[in-house]
Amino acid sequence: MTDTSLIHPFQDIVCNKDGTLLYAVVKNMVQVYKFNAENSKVIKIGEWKDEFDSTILIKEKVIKEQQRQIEKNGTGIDTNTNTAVGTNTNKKLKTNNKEAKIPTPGTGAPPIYRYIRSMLLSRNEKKLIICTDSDKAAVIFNINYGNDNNVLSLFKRQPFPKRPSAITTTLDDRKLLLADKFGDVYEIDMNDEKVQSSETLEPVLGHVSMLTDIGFQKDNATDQSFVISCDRDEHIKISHYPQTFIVNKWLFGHEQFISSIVLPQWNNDLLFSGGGDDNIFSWNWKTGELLDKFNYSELISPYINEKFHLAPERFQNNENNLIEYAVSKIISFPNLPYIAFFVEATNCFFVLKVDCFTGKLTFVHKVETETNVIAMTSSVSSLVVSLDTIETPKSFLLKFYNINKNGVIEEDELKANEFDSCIKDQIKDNQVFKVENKDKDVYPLYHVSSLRKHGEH
Amino acid sequence: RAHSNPFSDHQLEYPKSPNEMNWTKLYPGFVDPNDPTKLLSKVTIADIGCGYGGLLVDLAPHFPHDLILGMEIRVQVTNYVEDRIIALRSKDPNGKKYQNIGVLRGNAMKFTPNFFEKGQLTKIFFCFPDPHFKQRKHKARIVTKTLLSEYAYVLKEGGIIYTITDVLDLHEWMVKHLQEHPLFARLDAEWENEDLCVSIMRNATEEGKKVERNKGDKYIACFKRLPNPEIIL
Repeated sequence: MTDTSLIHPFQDIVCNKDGTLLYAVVKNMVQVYKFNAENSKVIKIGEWKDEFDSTILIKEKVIKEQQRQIEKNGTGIDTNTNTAVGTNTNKKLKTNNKEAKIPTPGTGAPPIYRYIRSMLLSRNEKKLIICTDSDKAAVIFNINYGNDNNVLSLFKRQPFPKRPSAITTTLDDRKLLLADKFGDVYEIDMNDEKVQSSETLEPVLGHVSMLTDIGFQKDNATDQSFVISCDRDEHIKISHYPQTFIVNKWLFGHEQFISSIVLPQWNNDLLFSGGGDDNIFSWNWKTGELLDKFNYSELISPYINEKFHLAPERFQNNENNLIEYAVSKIISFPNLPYIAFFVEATNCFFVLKVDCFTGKLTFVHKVETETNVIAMTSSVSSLVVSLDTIETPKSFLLKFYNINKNGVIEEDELKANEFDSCIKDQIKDNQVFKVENKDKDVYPLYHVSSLRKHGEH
Repeated sequence: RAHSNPFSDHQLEYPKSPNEMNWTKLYPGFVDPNDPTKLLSKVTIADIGCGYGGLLVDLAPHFPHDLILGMEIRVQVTNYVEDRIIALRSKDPNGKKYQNIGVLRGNAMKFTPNFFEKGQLTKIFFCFPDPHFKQRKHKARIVTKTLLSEYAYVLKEGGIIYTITDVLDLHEWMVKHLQEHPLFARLDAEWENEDLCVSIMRNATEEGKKVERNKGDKYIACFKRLPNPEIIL
């Protein structure tokens, strides 16, 4: 079958600021590539695979529950055995004495995934943080730049009670803030090796809705710091930090879920947000003012396709032409007043210019890609996209673009070629890239649209 | 139905922001004669999970100048309270009484900030909330560490949170979380004994009356919204 030659795309990518290093995630593995500007060569300088066996966690839970039951019923038995016959309690006791059975998924059960869901490079570029599926953990690595055999060395692995959905760090990189699918935000120390029991962790703030992104910013005028969290219920909440119990404000205006927020480094009043709405929103988060909305619906319409963007059948209209799409990610450039974004399951991305004084957004570029964009990252002068190569195993996994201060964007074919040959070279022997079964072995590459609320009674 | 899942996507109507909320339908007696889209005053008292509206009805005559809002997530119960308020209003020949109470269906745990501005409320009531006994479901409780920060946001400095329940475990939970929260301080028994709302709350609600009939216990705890502390940099 042709399936055996399929290659898994990078589900997430992150660049360092000067664009020399690229961190890329495939399934449960993170890799680090280095680009040498002098000879234009690319080498792989790091790799880590999540080998955590989640059945260990289930086993622990089952044994704990068994002990709890034995304790509970055990004390009940002592008082009962002398008086009543109590066949019921005896029966219970019997089953409890058996060795704890670890449940195994039966046929037809959804497959157990071990993916890496999100990735973040600390602001000082000394640490890499990823979130794992297997044990719902944040895994922090030290980046040892001298060690080209493997720059990644595991620093700590902190499990959380619910699945993490987004991460950020404080501006000094001392704390990691982690938002989860249950709506809570946790804070852990980035420099302390100690791992806390996930049961004793207390959230620092929360929403009653799935969190989709999180940011951190400082008000330079007052020196006050803030955590900015957004959710599936159109809410962007701004809380003081470290006094996260004081809510500063909400930014109201979205009519659909929010999937991505970005706080640019070149103007710390501004915040951009997007999600299920037809618009990219531009805010002054300090005053709470909505500065501009950029409607992208016309731009995106040629790229809409029935396979991904027709609304689910039970929410479809009579004409069967209801289209639903959503912004997957917005990024900013470290030194240039531009932002870029793409819509989930489309083969293009857009670049907008930002007026630093008014926050107004103007369209500057549309860039078409060979296949759908999966992830996007930026450095001072470049933009990198990861592409969906599932149907086209020979096409490029990554594409590189240079952007100058006038917003002119050009494809960097040399870089793309070098990366492609380096990646394809090592793919041959790397099992993680292999896709045997398209339905089972692929990370859910298009998961943003499912955040749309359709309402139920 | 006795319960409703506060996490699910109910087909709820809620304003995009407090500015966009049209209150005129709920409080026709308070509509500004110069601008029919606006009210002369704002809602200042909220009964979260108001149930059958007993507290709203009993509070109404004592706070004639305050607008009191009941929020309830169950559709049928909300409809019942709506009809109850209409009936009470129509009984007053002068059309004055019960104009200051209203009810809407909503998920207060998710959307409180969509309805109320910062510091808008002076009193929030949590009367006989769903106890959600299972540990796994504790986040579904109306009082949690993280939600208290949102209630604190809509509550004015010096404003009061009133809680009453017949479930000791829930009472202890609410007291613990409110006491631990830096923006709330518990009010003592002496204060409780002198406060009008406490005595109304103790006797007004349908749940309260049921507990009374069953000779059960009622646990009360009230907390004052403290001023925000100095911001740490």
